[in-house]
Amino acid sequence: MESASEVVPDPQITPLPMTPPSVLGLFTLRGEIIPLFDTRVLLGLTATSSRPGGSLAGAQARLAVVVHTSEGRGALAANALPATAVLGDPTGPSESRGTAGTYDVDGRAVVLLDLGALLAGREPGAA
Amino acid sequence: MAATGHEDRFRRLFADESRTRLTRLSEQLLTLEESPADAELLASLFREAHTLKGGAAVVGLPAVTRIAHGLEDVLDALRSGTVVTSDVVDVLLRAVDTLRELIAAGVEGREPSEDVQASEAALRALLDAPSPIPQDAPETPGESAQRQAGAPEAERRREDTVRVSLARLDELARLVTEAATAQLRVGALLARELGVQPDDLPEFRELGRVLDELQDRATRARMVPVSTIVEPLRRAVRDLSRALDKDVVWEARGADTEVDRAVLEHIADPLLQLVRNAVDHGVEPREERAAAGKARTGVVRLHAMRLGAEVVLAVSDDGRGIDAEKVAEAARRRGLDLSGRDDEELRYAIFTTGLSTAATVSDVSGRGVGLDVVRAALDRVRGRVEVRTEPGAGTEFRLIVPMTLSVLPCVLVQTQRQHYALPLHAVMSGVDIARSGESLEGREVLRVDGRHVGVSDLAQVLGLREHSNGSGPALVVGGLTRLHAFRVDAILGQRRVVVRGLGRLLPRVDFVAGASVEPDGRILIVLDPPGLIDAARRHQRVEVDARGEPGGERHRGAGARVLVVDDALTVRELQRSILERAGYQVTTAVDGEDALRLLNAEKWDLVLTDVEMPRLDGFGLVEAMRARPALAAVPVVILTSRASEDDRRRGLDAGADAYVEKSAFDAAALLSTVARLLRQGS
Repeated sequence: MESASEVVPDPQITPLPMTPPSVLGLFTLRGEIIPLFDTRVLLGLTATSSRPGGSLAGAQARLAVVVHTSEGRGALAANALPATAVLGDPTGPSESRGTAGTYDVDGRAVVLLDLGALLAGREPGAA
Repeated sequence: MAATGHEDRFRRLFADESRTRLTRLSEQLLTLEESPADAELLASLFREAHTLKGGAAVVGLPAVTRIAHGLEDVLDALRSGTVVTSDVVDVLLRAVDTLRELIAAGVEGREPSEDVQASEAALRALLDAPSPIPQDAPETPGESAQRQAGAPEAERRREDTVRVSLARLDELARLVTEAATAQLRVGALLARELGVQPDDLPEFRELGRVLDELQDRATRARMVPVSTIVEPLRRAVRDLSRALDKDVVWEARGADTEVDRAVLEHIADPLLQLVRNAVDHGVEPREERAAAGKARTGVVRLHAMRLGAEVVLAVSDDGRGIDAEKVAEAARRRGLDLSGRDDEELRYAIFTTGLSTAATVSDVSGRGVGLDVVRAALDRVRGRVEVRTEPGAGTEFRLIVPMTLSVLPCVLVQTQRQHYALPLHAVMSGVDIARSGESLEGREVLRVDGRHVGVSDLAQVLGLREHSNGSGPALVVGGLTRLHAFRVDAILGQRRVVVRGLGRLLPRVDFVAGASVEPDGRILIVLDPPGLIDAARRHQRVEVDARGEPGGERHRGAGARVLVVDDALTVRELQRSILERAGYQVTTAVDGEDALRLLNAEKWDLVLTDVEMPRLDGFGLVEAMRARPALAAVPVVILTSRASEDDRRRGLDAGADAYVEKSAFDAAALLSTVARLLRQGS
């Protein structure tokens, strides 16, 4: 919770040319430029990005969850309104990269995101 | 003796303070060399050394104290009549260098790289040596007055200043920009909700005016005078001319011109390089100068001046000038092929690494002329350099840099419904052309000022669309030696843009310099001209390769099925996007076993594989393929970060057709390898 600061509905995304599929583009928040990442791609859940046809135009995200990391502010794309919850002990390990365990919240399995690991991936071929 | 946190802080304060003090010492020593009998100067020097000694003692740096004490003693002897000679100044200047290193080492908690004993001994030797008969060399009234006028100025400047961290100034500038954006949003709100035109309201206009001025002042707060980097230049001229036994005089004009501190930091080294080159290669030895009818003493000069929103720093010498013939000769000797270059590029060939027009590479000024360091630094601050030379008369290098980096005049363009900004200083001209129809080596070109310039569609280079429109306005963008034209959908005009970096979370994109928030809230992407030209050239090479030999048959490139095997998602996707854009059909597999499964099920024209993968690695995959008759002939490229000779041999032994290193990942190289193998196969 300390890392996530706010949720922005329907952000106006400006695409960034020649970035990997994990990057949806940029948007502004009160004058600050924030990069928006495709959470599903970062987690390795899909092979392709949410961009229709892989093209740059038309990148969309229902919601952007703004987070703080040691490298600055970024945002993760999300589909449903996040709810806050207090996590108990982990109920099991998680497999996707950038995650830190599985928890039980009101009977549902929830995976905890490790933002540092999730966003820290440096793509080969980029500086 | 380990320093506690408390001591640490005071040491750092001392180090900060000493930096300016040591620079002053150095400057004054150089002046002393020119006016050796100046009593005021000697007294001032003594005071500096004395204060330094005291400060060092307080923060517990005994080595520094000892050297400063030695310095004090020598200065005292000079005050009492010992003659100031260049040898004496040599020793004193080296003592200052030693002090710098000792203080830095003391703060960083490491062993100093300077020999304290040797330094102390050198200082003591000066005291023991019999002093030569003092010669009368009183300074002229002009020199004295000049110096005295200089000193109180400096004193005053020192007193009413405050140290502020750059980070704070940047934060201030950012807040001012936010305020300006907020003001515009208020204006939009007024118009929307109250139907009022904000510009009709004097209060609104007043607010805008004040914010503009605030922004201006905030960016100016980062500016420092050029004089802050002049001392090492002056010192270099002195040291180098002594070492080479040449007579060279240093002049600096306009040193109070102000430049953004970040810009100045970037060009301090290039300026040093240029000054050293001027003394080493530019100025001739005395006899040569006399024979040519010139004054025996050469001049190396720095002239700084402001021109609009730019600052010009010119380093000039009255030496032998740059001989174009010799440049071409030196290039040939080094095996550098300059034949394919434009005339313009030939002239600036001296900026290539390792090129030197000196008959012997002198150790003193480093490896040859090596002016590529100048070009690289200028690229980083979005500046440029002009060279003027006259054989026999001298050379002038003009470095032209922006006064401030935060605000950049740009040309705005639109392509594929997106807005982009190009820094104005890199835009050479705008051309309104239909498809030029001219072609050179398979690439489209434009004739600009008698030169052939490559043309690309900006949207294509940025990966926004597959095929270019073919017509539309084009901008000729350039750097020092290269020009390239970019076709866009529309040119929107010019504007001053506040450029922000994109932060560290995003992977770096070569040709994006930053972004900016427009008044209406949209994001404007600012392009980086050198990176853009690189990308355009890579793109053109790819196009030519994909089209095959000129006039030759169509090979199986387009539509060929390529299987990409790698366990890393992002690598797979990166390769997919490169290959798909070049026209191939791409499928991916996550490791060797997955790949084999796909290979057995369908037909593929080429396989691109990583080495390190779970279950079945790259080598294993190739061996398995070669063992099956149906797959034995399919070309395989191994793409990996393992670069040893053994790995390469192993890969080729296993049956791979090519081995490409990931660390030097170059899309064009990859594509030409793929194209070559597919052509051979067909």
